[in-house]
Amino acid sequence: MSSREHAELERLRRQLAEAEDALSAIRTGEIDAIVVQGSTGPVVYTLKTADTPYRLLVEQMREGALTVSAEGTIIYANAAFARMVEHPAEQLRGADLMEMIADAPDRQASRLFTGPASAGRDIRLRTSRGALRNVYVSSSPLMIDDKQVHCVIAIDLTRQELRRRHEAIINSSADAIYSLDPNGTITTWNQAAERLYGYAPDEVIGRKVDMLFVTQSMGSDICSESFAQAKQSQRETVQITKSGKRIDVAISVATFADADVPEGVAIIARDISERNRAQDHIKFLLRESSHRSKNLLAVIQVIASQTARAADTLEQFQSRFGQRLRSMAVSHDLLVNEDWKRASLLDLVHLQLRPFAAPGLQLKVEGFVVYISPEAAQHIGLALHELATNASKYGAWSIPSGEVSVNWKVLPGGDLQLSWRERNGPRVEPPSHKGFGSTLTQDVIAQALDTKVAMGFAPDGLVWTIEVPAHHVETI
Amino acid sequence: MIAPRYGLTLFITGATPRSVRAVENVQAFCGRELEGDYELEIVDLYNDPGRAQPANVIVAPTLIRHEPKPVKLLVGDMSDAQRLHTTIKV
Repeated sequence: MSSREHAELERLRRQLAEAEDALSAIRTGEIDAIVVQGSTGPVVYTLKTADTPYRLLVEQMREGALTVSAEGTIIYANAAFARMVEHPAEQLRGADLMEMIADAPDRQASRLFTGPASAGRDIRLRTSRGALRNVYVSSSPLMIDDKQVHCVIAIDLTRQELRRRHEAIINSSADAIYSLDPNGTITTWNQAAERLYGYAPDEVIGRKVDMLFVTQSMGSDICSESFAQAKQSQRETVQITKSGKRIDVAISVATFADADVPEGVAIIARDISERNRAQDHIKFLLRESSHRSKNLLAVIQVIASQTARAADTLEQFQSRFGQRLRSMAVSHDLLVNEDWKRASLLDLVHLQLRPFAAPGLQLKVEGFVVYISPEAAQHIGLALHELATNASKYGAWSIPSGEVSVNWKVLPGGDLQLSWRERNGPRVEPPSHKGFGSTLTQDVIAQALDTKVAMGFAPDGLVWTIEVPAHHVETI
Repeated sequence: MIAPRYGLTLFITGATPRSVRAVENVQAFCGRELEGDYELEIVDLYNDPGRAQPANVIVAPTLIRHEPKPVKLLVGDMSDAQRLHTTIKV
C-alpha cells in the first residue's frame, strides 16, 4: 500500500469514527438538535420542540435575558441584552458578565449568579463602546439538569426613564394630546385632553375619534389623510365636548412610527375659542373706537363753539374750554377702565368733583352702588362739572357755610333719580339769561338720555334733579 | 501576531441543556489545558443555521477542532474530559 493510499485510508477511518460518534450520540441522547438541509436552507430541529415557543419568547422580549454560570460566564444571552451592551449576540456566549458591570468588583453584583433569588437592583453596564447604561437586574437560580445556573433579567432604565419623562411631559402639557391607531381609534389620552373635552381616558380609549368632531367621519378622514401623506398638518376646526359644547380648536396632526413602521397618528389640540373671542372683541373695539371718536369730536366741537360764544376774552375761553375737556377726559378714563361697558356712578361723582375739593368744602354723597351706561356717564359727568363750577362761583361752595349733597336712588320702575342739592349758600336768584352751563345741564342731557331734568332755584339753594331711564342703569 | 495553536468552534442550539453544559465544559477544558493558546468560537445554530453545512455539522452540540490539522470533531455535551482531551490534544 502506497503512503497516499495509507493517508486516504486513515482519513476514511477517522470520518467513519466521527460518523459513528454522531450516531451513537443521537442514540444515547447526548445531543439537543440536528441540522438538516431543507428546501429553503438549513433547518435546526430541536429534540425538545415543545420549548420552542418559550425560546422564541425569550429571544424576542424587550428585556435583556441571560443565563449565567456560577462563575459569571454568560451561557446564553438574548438579542435585547446584546443591544444593551452593544455586543454582537454571538460573541456574548462565554463572555464574563462581571467584566460588563461598571461597578465591579462588587460583591453585591456577583450575587446575581451565586446567591438566592434577588428581588432586583440597579447596576451600570459598560457597553462595548465604553458607554454606561443604567439597568435594573433581578436574578433567580435555575437548575438545568443537575447543574445550577442563574437566570438574569435586565431592564434598560435609560429607555424606561425616557419613557417616563415623555409621559410626564405629555401629561404636563397645556395642550390636549391624544393618539389614534390607523383606523382612527383613540389609543392614548392626556390630562389636558380630559380637561378640554371632559372625557376621562376610559371613556374614550378604544372609541372612534369621530365622536369629538361635529362633522361625521371628519376625525377618520383626518386620520387616513395623515397616513396617506405621512406629514404634519395643521388646521382649525370645531369639536364637541362631552357636555355637547362646541369648541373652536387648532389641531396639529402627525403620524408617528416605531422603527419606521407607521404606528398611529398623534393629535395636539388647543382651544382657540378664547383667542377667537379676543379677536372678535378687538374688531368690535376698533369699530366702537372709530364710532366714539366721531361722536366725541362732534361734542367737542359743540362745547368749543358754545364756550367761545359765552367767553368775553380769549383767556376766559381757554380756561373754561380746558376745564370742560378735562371733565370729559375723566368720564372717558372711567369708561375705558370698564371696557366702555359702564361706569360706577359713585366713582363718576368723586372724580368729577375732585378738582373742586378745597379745605372746609362741604359735600355729602349718598347712594347705593349703581352703574350707568357710557352715554349717561358722559353727559352726567359734564353736568356735574358744570354744576360744581357754578356752585364754586355763585352757589353754595362760594361761601364757607354752604354745602352740597349729591344723592341718588333707584325708583320702583327701575329709573334712577339723581339729585344735586345746595344748602346754606348765598341767596339764589333765577338767572336772567340761560348760559351754556344751563343748556348742558338741562336741554342737552334731557335730549341725549330722552328724559326729564328739573332745575329749581329755591332761596336756600339750587336743586337739580334728573331721572335716568332704567335702560341706562345697572344695579347689583 | 501569531495565530493561536488551537482553533475550535463549538456549535450549539441556544440555551438547551446540553448546549449549556457543552459551553461550560469546553470553556473549563480550554482554561485548564490550553493555557490561553486557543481561539474558541461558539456558534448558535438558531441564529446562524447556515454555518452547519460547510462545517459538516449535523447535530448539536458539536465541537470542531480545525487547527491544528487534521480536523477533528466531537459530539455531545463534552462532559467526558478524557475524550475531550484525546480529541483536542492528541
